[in-house]
Amino acid sequence: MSRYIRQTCLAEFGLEGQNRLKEASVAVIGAGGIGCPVLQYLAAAGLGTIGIVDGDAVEESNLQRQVLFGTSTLGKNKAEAAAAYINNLNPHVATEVYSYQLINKNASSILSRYDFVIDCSDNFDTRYLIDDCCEALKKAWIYGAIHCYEAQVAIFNYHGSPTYRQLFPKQSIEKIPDCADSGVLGVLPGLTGMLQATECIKLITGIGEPLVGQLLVFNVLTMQFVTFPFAAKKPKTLGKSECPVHPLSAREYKDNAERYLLVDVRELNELPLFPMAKRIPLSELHLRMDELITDKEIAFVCRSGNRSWQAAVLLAKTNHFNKLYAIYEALY
Amino acid sequence: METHHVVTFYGILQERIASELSLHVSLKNVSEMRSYLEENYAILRKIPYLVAINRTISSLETPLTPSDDIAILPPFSGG
Repeated sequence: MSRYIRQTCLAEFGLEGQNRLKEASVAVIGAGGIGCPVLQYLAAAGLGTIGIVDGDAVEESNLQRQVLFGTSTLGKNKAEAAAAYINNLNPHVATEVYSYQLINKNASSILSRYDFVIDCSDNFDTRYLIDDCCEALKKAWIYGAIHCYEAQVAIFNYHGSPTYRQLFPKQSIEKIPDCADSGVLGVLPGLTGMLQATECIKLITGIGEPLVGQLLVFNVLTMQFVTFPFAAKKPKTLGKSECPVHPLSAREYKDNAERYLLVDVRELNELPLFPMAKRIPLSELHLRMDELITDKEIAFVCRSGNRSWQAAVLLAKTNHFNKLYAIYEALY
Repeated sequence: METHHVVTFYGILQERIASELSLHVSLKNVSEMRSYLEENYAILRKIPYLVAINRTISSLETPLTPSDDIAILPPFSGG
């Protein structure tokens, strides 16, 4: 096929590389400033299947950097508009559209379908969710994020390499501004996404040296690119390829409450009380795991679903539980 | 003898602290430097950050010498 001749004639890449791309699947989380170039170049290169996850609609202020969209796609869902662009660019690529945000409830079932995950999100909640879920699924993911004129790129959880949470165990309690707050030159997410797409092609085809165990930081005003290696920590991996953490709705819990040991991981001063729950704050869970010996299935609950998910992931790492449930909403 | 360490900040910390700081204190290792910085810059108690010594992300025990290239790296948010 002449479409790919310019890359298949590369010595290291060859037809073998092209076949590997064709067989591969990648989930792209966010079709914004970073996601657009990732999607565009992976599709052009002939990736087999691309999952596109984004719940936002195209706005005029996006067009300065989100190059898959134009005046005619204003107001359309980004995942759908990106898929339409890709179908025209390269109809041999299968696109799978998720026109909603990645959240606790759907993350595991979406990400488990793909070989690799590319984080093109613009917030920490999504990034930590991708990291936790990919760790549980033993899946590598490619991180990219920007701040004003600077960007960071890295590969996490590749064959046991460190996770994002190992570098940044706690979320910031001070708001770190995103593009909407502090502004951005369109080329910066463009470059960032192109670097992530490059790393993705390298991981799939096995050529070159991927950015594993290193954080790349670059600044487009100075054009300084610096890679900071991080020591390989002993990863806590799961013994199974299946993610043992499952989302549970409040309704699903209530319908079968007797099946579960309900564990409330909120801090002790948080109300209302759940009389049927055992209370172990998330901050103490690692010290009190022996209190969770039970014949029942364990379901974690918190205020909104973030801490219950973290608690289930923490417990999953011990390998002692086949199935853990995180209630992803309020249980009132 | 007064020791002097030069620290470079990235991301939001560049705006909230400085691009570069000279610390005129004697600090044995990364742990001491983190304590010193967090005492003097409240923002560092709220935002997680990595410390790179001579362009390698370092642990708390990594020793410091005055000629070290020290970088403070917070996570970035945008996409």
